[in-house]
Amino acid sequence: MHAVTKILVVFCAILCLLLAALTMAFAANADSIVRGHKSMEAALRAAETAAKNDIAQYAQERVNHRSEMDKLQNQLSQLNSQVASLQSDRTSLRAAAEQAAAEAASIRGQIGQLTATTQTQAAVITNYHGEVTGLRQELLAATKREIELVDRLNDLESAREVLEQNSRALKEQLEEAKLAMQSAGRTGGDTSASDPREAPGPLIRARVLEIVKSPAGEDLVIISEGANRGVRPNTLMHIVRGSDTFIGSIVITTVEPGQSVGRLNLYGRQNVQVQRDDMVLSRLTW
Amino acid sequence: MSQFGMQMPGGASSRSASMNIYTGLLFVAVVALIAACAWMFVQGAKIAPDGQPFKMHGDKVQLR
Repeated sequence: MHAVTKILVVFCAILCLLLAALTMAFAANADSIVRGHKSMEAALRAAETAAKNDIAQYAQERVNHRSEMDKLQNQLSQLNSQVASLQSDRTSLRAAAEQAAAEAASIRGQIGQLTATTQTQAAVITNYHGEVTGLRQELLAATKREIELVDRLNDLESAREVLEQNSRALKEQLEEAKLAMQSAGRTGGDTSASDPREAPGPLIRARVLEIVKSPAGEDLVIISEGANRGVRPNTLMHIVRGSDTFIGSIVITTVEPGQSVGRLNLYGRQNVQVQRDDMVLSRLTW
Repeated sequence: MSQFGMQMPGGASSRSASMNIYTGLLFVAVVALIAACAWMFVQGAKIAPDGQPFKMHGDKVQLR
């Protein structure tokens, strides 16, 4: 065998070994790559499935987000409108606040003026109080003085009335004394058969209570006043009706404290009759 | 004695081997194997880790 042939055989063997090694390594790597490729395909499928699920979920979330976005948009528009209305309210409230501040300032000014006025009025009232107190004390003093004067006047009035009563009584006594002296001068001192006379002093007013007949046939008139008013026996009294009608006269025969009885004298007139409640006077002029 | 060129009796004359058809076939085979190795080397370098065709992938495939 030729040396070249041998060398070629050796090279051929070496190259065969080298090729076998390369082929085994290539096959192993190819197998690893294929397995990796398969696993990657599986992973890719799983990823695709997950991606589809994620896409569906994202779509649902997108729909939800869109609806939420619409809601938020509506809310935003409502809030914008509210903001606009609130801004208008704020403007109006700010204007109202400024107006209120101006009114408060004016009210403060008025309060200051009123305070000054009140202080002035308080001073005036204090002065008036002093004046009124003084006037009241003066009024009390004047009232006391008036009361004292009235008391003194009443005392003097009562003293005057007492003196007038005394004077009247003295006048009556004097008149009676004069009449007694005249009667004594005409009859020589017999006063028992004296003529009827009018009662002196103040006018006596009475009413006719009843007209009766005496056993002797005379007309007797009972009147409503007696000794309590100064009616005395043998007193001449006159009966009138109304204001100007003269009826007749009576001469008192019997006197009691509250009533009297007199004998009627119609002066011969037949067409005149005494009636109940006719006025009886002690004299016709006063 | 043949080393000295002496013709010994009974000794056949040694003829030197010559190249023949097998030598050519081996040559062609060597050339084909060289080409195959080069091609496998290139292709193995493409799929082997770190571009070294004799290295193999582990659990994780790493390509260039």
